[in-house]
Formats: sequence, structure tokens, C-alpha cells
Amino acid sequence: MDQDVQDRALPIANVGRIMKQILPPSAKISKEGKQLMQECVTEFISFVTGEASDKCHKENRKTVNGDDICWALSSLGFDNYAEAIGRYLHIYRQGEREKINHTKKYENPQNQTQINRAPPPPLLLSRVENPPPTNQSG
Amino acid sequence: MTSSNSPKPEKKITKNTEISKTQKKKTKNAETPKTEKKKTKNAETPKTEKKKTKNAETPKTEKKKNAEIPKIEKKKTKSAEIPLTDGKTKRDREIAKEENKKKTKKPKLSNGTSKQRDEGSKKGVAEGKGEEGKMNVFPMNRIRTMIKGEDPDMRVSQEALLAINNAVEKFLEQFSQEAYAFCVRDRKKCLSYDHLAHVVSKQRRYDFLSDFVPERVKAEDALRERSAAGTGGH
Repeated sequence: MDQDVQDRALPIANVGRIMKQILPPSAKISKEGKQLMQECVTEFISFVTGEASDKCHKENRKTVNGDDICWALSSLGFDNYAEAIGRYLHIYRQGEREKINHTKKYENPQNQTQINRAPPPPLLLSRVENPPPTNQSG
Repeated sequence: MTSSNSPKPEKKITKNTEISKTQKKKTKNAETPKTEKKKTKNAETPKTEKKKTKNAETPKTEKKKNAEIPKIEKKKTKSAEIPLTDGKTKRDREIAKEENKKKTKKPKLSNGTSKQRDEGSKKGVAEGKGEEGKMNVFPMNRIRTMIKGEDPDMRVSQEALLAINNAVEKFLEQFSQEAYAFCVRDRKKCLSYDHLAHVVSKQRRYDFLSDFVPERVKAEDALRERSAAGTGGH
């Protein structure tokens, strides 16, 4: 029971830390305020995720991706969040591509030197699993 | 940002919302009895809030917490899973040190597979530091668990989790800033419930929180509105 309740909310230490970072150093935050903010944040996630999930159901899709989250944020009145997160996803995808290219370059010399002994790299398996859920079905 | 509403419709709105709020409050109390315990805990330690000095407050409150509430330790141990990389300010460093001392118990992982997931998410975070200059603030597995709690059939991609993580961070920052603005108006030092509730009632984008954070109303006024609405039972 304890674990279930705790798992359904974000850790309060992280919530408190972000609040301290954004507010001036003279500000104090009561425990009650932190707990309340924790509940608000939890509800925010449910709110946005529910909207994105509904959209996926309408389009007969089973996977929620980043664009769905951006769409949900803009439809719920958080346009500035949607823009910022859109830019973030763009950078993230570039990073993913660079990683893939980097691994390819890294593997080539191994293949040249040891043609017969080519151990199966575990990273490929993890990456093969990643692409399917990120497919964008327009 | 057009707010040209006359006072009369506002009153009507408040009446309707308050009735629904009271009903939902009851359901909450039935569903989560632990929240009541939390309230009692807050009531048990009113003295610490009065003390002004910050340095003096922290060690005493910690001791009391450890003695009175053993459950909080479990929460802290879970929060300890997250690596603290924001050590820029001295205060944060001190807090990190204190948290490190409290890491006596190792967090229990519910499933064996969760270890692999944690490793995957950590690697992603580590790789992302150089490029993005940020790290994910909240644990990814926790967010995934919360989302699956609503709709078990729905799958969530890694991108979506990152997007939600960032959205929550921005939401938390903005909400805190706006609440602090009201805190300054009241000329108070501590950010508390009333300031958060005031933000929710004032801005429309936070309407989805109105059920969770109703603004305080005196019992007399609430009873009057109940009788006026006709739910008092003639």
C-alpha cells in the first residue's frame, strides 16, 4: 500500500528543489506548500497524458509519442510549454541520430581488424527496440 | 487576458463550484486516509515554523522527523535514487551532503527488469548532459508508472516521457513564481496553501486544479450557500 501511493506521485524532494531554484533565496516554502505542489504536478501529468491518450485512441494508435504531448499541451492552454518542448524534442532527435552515426563509425574498425571474430554488440539490440515506438504515423 | 467579468456571475460560479468541491473532498477522504495523517503531522510540529533562523531549523526538524515519522525515511531513500548534479549553490551542496548521510537503506526495486530500465535511463541522461545542458529532473520510471496507472493499454515512447518531464518542470517553475508573487503581496515569508490556491482561482489555465486546491471559505459562508442552493434538505 505504501509503495503504491508513493509510486503514484513524484518525489517531493525533487519538487522542493525546483521550487527553491526558481524562487529567490529569501523565499521559504512550507511543507504544506510542497505537498500541495506535489499533488498539483501529479494532476498535471494525468491531465496532459489523458488528453494525448484520447487523441491516440481516436487515431487508432497504441503509442503516445512526443508530438502527441506537444499537441495536448497546446490544446489545454499551455502553448508556451508546447513550443519549448517542441524545440527540445528536435534537439533530442538530432542527438539520437548523432549517436547512431557515432556507433557505426566506431564499429567499422573493429570489423576490419577482426573479421572472423565479431562479437554481437548489445547496444544494437537496445537500439533496434527503440525505433518502433518512435515511429510517427501521420 | 481579458477579465471583464461582473461580480454577480462570479458569485454564481463560486456557488456551483463549491458544492462540487465539497462532494469531491469527501470522496478524497474516503479514498486516501493517509492524507489525514499528514495533516496531524503538520499540526504536531507547529513550533519549528515559528523559528526564524534557517540554520537552526534544519537539524532540529530532521531529528524530530526521524523520531516521529519513520515513513518519511522511505520516501527520502527513494528520492536518493536520483543523482544530485545541481551542486552550484552552497545551500544545495549542504542539502546534498545531508541527504547522502541519510542514505542508510537501499531503495527496494519492485521488479528485476526495472534495474535494466534504470540503467538505460541513466545512460540516456549521462549522454544528454553535454548536448542539452540539462538532465531529467524526475525519475522516468515513476512517470511511466503514473501514466500506465491511467491507461494500461497505452504505450508511451521515450520521447513522450522526456517531453512530459520537461513540461512538468516548466509547469512547476511557473506555478511557483506566480504563487510567490502573491506571497510577496501578502508580505509573508513562507509560501503556503493560500498563495497556491489564489493562483488557481485567478488564472483559467489552472482550472483543472480547482478541485484539488479549493480556496478557503468560512464554514458559515459555505453553509449559507448550501442552503441557498437547496442541498440542505428542507
